[in-house]
Amino acid sequence: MKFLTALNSYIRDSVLPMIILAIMLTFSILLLVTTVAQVGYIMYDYDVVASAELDNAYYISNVMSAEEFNEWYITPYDEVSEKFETMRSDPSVESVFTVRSITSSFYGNRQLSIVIFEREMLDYFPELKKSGLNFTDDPYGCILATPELNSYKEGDTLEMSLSGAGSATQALNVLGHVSYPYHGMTFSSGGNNIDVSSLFSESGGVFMLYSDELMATLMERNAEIKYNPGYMVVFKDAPNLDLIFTSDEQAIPFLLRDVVETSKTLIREILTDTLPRPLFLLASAFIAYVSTTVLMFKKKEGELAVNYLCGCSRTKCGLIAFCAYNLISIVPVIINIIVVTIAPELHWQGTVNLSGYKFDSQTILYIFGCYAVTALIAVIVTVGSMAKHTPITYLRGARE
Amino acid sequence: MIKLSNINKIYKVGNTDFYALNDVSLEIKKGEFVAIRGASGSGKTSLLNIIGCLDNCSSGTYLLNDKDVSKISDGQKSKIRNEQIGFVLQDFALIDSQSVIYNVKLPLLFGRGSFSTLNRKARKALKLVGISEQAKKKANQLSGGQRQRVAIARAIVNWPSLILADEPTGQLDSKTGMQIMELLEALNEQGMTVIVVTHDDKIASYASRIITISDGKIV
Ligand SMILES: Nc1ncnc2c1ncn2[C@@H]1O[C@H](COP(=O)(O)OP(=O)(O)OP(=O)(O)O)[C@@H](O)[C@H]1O
Ligand SMILES: [Mg+2]
Repeated sequence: MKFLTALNSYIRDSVLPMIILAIMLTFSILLLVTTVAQVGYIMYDYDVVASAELDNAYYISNVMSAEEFNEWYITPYDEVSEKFETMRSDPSVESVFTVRSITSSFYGNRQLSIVIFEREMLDYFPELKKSGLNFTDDPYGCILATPELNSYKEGDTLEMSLSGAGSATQALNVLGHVSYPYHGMTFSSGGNNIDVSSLFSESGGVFMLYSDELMATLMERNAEIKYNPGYMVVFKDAPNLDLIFTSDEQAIPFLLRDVVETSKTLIREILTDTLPRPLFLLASAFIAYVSTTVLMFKKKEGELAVNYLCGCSRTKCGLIAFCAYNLISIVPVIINIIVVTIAPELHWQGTVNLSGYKFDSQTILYIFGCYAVTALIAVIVTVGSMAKHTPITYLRGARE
Repeated sequence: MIKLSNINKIYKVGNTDFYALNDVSLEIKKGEFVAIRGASGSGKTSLLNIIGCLDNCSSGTYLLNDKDVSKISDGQKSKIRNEQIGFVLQDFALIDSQSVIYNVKLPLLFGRGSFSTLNRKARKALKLVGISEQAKKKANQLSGGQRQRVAIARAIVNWPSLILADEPTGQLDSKTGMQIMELLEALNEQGMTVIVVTHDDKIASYASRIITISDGKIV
């Protein structure tokens, strides 16, 4: 309390510049953190794709008009399955990865989708398991990919009503959770511009593995199963793109290697185009921090000398100055940590749309990094100023 | 109470050593009222700063209450300043932008007492020097004489055994100066050891002993 009183006296004439500087720091750190979160999001997808065998693998995107889309949408499930079976049976093809989803499964009032992909795909992209996709042989095993279902634990049973299946529900066995930001490979994007993130989305539901037993059960219940628009074809050696074009007119095949290259460029763009702005702002904030703290010391040098006269040791004088400077940076740091911590929650609730950002412990590390810089500046300014202007020279100087 | 033996204070000026204090030995007993007199630049402030544990001597030994304080740490020196010594300086050394009461509280802020007793103790000290009604004013709103009273209140708020005054009347007119000296005299009568630095004979005459210093040496 006594220390706080002395600290308060040290800062009371500088409150306005301190607040302005704190605001400046808050925004610069926030800007840096969001950029880092953006890179963090892409990097996860990037790692998953780049770690796979890329040579003969194609992601098949498509560009459809609204009519074409409608037509595709009402194509019966069996017909599409047949198309993929034809491709699979071609001698040039090693495997075809598709993603099925049950488009409107309801849990409570909230729409959740069941996303089903093949175990082979999981083997092809081993990094996928890092997010928590660890399946067993249980055909009804599912992995939850939404914080809404966080109350369900491993071993629990989840009753899902299936769209098309009336009031009957299907019991699924919870095997685990997908980690934040809850996205997985869903092949739900099309278009001409495909980067690694296009292959992923936040499914907002549960992931399951394809099995004949599961499919039989779902069919039996008349569940409405759809294929997601994208798919992936891995050729044995020479790619046979004609095979794709004959069965799929709108297909735009992207060599996975090219997709990775596109993403590399995208990441590089973020790093070279977007990152400099927050870095520049942050650097300006740090410079402003240096000058403010130096000026504050100059202004209060006499007060510290008087404190010294009254029995405040030099260490304690320095501590007063150091704590005052820390007050400027600690508030922005706390604000940013709060923002980063509640951002995923806000995103989930739909308050703000933050898809494409991954806020995690690494982002918090960057915030602490910024704090470390200001703390270092505070130490240097305090120690430097104290060494240059000892209380005794001030007490003499003021008098002579 | 104070025993200085062969104290030197050397300032480095370029490559040469400048002796601000040259082999000073001095003893002051508890309860004494001592004046240190000397021309400008003779080393009075340097001596007072060493006695007050504000500055280190270059060589020699300084016993304060039989304890060697010439080689102790800054933290320990600060504790001694806080508990045993009160300072009254020519330019008052107040925090101008702060209230009178805050200035008087300062030694208590860095001492050991509990926070809740601070205001009471500070008001008591202000009352003793006769300016309790100014407590809420800012230090820079007071007259010179009033400011020096605030400085004295601050010096005695911890009830130290030693008061060090460096030309306490230097910025005051002679009548106000006399009042300040009477205040110091009253403190001396209550048992405090008082050392006043001055080059004014009239001020020096309040003291029971006068020490004259010239070119860093006691004469
Ligand atoms: N930091 C310093 N560096 C170099 N010389 C110094 C320093 N401080 C004081 N001196 C010199 O030491 C000598 C004694 O100074 P001091 O302040 O003790 O004198 P004083 O007797 O108090 O003078 P005054 O009556 O003017 O206050 C002076 O010649 C001064 O120039
Ligand atoms: Mg002097």
